[in-house]
Amino acid sequence: MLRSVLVCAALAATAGWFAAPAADARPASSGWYAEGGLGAVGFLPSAADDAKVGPAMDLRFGRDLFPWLSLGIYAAASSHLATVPAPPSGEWFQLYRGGADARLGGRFDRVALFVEGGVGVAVISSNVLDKVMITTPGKDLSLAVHAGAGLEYQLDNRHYALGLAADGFLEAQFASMKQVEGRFYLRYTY
Amino acid sequence: MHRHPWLCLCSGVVLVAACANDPMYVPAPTNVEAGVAIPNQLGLSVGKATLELPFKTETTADAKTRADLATKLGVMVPYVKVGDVSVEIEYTIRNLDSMPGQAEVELNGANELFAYDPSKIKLDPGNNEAPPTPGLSGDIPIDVPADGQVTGLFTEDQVLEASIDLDEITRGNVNPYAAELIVNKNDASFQPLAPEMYDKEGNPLPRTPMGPVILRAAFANMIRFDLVFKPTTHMVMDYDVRVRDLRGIVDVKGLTAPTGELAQFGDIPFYIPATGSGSGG
Repeated sequence: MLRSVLVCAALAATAGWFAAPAADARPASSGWYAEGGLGAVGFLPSAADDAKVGPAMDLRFGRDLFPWLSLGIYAAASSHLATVPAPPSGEWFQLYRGGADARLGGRFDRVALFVEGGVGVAVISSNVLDKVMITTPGKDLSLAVHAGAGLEYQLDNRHYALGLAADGFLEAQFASMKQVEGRFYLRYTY
Repeated sequence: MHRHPWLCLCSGVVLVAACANDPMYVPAPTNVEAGVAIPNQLGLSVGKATLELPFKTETTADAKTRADLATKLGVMVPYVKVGDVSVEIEYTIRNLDSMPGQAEVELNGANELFAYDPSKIKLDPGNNEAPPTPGLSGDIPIDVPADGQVTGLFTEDQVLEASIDLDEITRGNVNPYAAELIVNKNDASFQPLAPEMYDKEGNPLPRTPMGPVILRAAFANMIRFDLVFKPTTHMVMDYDVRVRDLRGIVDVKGLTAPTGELAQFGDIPFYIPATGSGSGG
């Protein structure tokens, strides 16, 4: 009798083990989202000698179309100390960027990884880089393309995630000036 | 969105930054080299440089507004007025000599009515020991190390002061020394005075007001900047003009803009006749 009970208990435990559902990935909202980020933008050669690394901020709005694809628009601004041969010296300029991009990625429990790329425009706030022929007189607008990657950490609240991303930018009309941006952001998905 | 004030804050900061009044840099066409001995002459060479800001031609609407204001005030109102642009001039001086030296940079220039060149103005023609007529700003000795480089600046406030001094000297018959030594940048108006006259013993006679008061709305801003570079050793000065265009009248193409797009000003050299009295014309 005791042996039967033990056998039944063992079978029940085994069945229970196999029947137990696998742990769900941390729930995360999907749909419309907004992101706000802070970071830094640095210039890559050959413009690296003409401007310092500067603080940047980004805003991004978009929609998850599929679990692996989202589309969005972004606006970003960064501020830099110009280090062109004096004069002028100690002058700052701002770089504004805006456009649309796509993000491909996947979620692994709490962490999501993605790559992104997009196209837009960049506007420079002054002609201080005329001196090094990065900009030309009267031209302050350029086509801008960017590509990058990042990761997101889903918080307990399914609407919120924290992320780190790095992107490279190229502005064709600004003598193909290239920058790299690193940013930390908070994402809210509705 | 109202649940996320940080997003609103970031958006606001971006918008404010994007709408800020951004400067434009107008580089000097050439650098200025001076401080070398001149053959068969005493003293060292003095460098001079001139840069006229690239203002767009006046629109019909602007011209009408200006004419209306001139009628209302009863005085001539210039196209480029004080407050239309904020200007800063930055310079870099390189000492090419192996000895330390000093350099002075004097700021003069013109508004669209008058040009001011103190080297052509003698305040006291009969007196050989009279001090030279002052420039509008600068003339402060700057130490420059051997083979070294220093940078200097005429700030927006200094250029504003120089602009108002220039207008008061030329249209107001204010003595250049008085204009330079008194802070006029906050003046709301000035009263043009009769030219300085002297009695037989050389004492100045009382001056009477001449014409209507010129209000700040009609103050002329400098449109041309003349730098006089006076080093004690062989030096080179490079400079540029930083303009904040508060009214949208500066051509963004800068000095490369086609001549037809730019306003042409017919400023008249200002002089003070040998009688010792001030006059423009």
